Amino acid sequence: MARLTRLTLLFVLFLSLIGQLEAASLKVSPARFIVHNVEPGRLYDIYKETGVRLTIYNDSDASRTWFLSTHRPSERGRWETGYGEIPDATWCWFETDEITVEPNSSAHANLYLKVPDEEKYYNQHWVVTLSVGGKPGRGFALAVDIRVQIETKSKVGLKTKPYGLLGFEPSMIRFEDVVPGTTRIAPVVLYNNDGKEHTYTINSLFEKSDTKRVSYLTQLHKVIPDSSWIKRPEGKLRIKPGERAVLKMELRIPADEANFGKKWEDILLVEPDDGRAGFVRVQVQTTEKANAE
Amino acid sequence: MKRVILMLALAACLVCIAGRAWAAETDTITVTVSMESVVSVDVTPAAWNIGAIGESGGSGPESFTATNDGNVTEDLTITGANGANGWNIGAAAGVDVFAVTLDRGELSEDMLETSPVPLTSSLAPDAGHGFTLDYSAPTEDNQGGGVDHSFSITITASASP
Repeated sequence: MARLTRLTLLFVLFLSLIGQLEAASLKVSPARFIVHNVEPGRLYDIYKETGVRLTIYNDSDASRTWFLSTHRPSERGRWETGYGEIPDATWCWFETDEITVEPNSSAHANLYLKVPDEEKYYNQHWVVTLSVGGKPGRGFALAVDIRVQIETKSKVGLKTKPYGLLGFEPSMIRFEDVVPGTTRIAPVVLYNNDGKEHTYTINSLFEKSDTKRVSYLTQLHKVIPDSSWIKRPEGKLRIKPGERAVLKMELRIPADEANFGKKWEDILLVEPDDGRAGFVRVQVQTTEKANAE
Repeated sequence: MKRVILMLALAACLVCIAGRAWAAETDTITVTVSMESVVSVDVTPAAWNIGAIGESGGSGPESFTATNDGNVTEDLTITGANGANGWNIGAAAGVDVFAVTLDRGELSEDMLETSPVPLTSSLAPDAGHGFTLDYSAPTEDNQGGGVDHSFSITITASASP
């Protein structure tokens, strides 16, 4: 009898309801976004402050319920070069854990963010993954992951080392009112917070052919036409464990009429011999020609 | 005297402008987003009726297509799940353990797990990616015949970095 039981056909109903066919489509917008200038200790209602929230579309004739969650990106797949993982994904949360979207309609999901009020969390570039997915059950479930690039406020004069194996101070250099033809210099402190010595190379992320520039640029900024206009240390930079190095970034925009009144950006990627890369965001705003005269 | 008043007014203006710039830096966040960007995924066929299988039996390969219905290039992952009523998913079929083999085409075969496995990367909008799944039933069942051991498979889409 036991053998008969074992031999009884085992029913594996992978998807039994034809109605669930309609569940095999999920659409969410935006696909990704960057939040700049996040101050540790402050609670942000992202929609209230920026007008950005997730929109979940339902193109079917039946209502759909989706579940919302936040994750560290390594749990979900690849993410943007130069960004680290948010230390704790619960620092970012949705207003509600599930959302029902009426037929042929859309619904919105609001996001909140609070980074703990600790000085080490300034100058950080992190990614958190937002997940919109169906309730696990039987059959095909669909999910969409939205990556949010979180950049905490750039700050100098820190009393503690910035968080992470590779730290920056500041994390963003802003050259304002630059007159083409003149030279500007800005220092950046690079921290090796690892327990072993590292060598680092510094290059423009935009020089890499596979870089999706739109994934890194700040709104209203374009890629700097020539990354060599920002001189940085060449070759390999060696920093002992627990120590730091001061780098000098020198900006010189050619004295050309076409270079007035521009907003450019570069991402200086700092790649260690071992481990994840980090970056310094460099923004350049050149003066209007009339102001320079 | 007029010159002095003018200078004072100019200085006051500069303080105001500087104050506004400072406030913008300390109190506000900005978001860079392309509102037109949409991530979307569709799977066809949406059903896989494996049917009745004996111990150590297999379903045979079944073909599916995941389509990028969004307007950005997408990475897709596929994640398995444990079955209902005491069956778990595993790297190989065993006692109360079933396995699902994934053939992604250009990539080598893989086994579904409860953590995400890459399905394809940099899939262009409107493009589809074919894959096959092959189910292997447990070699021995301790839960009894006729029990529902259904499980789910999740296809996850995200914008390619």
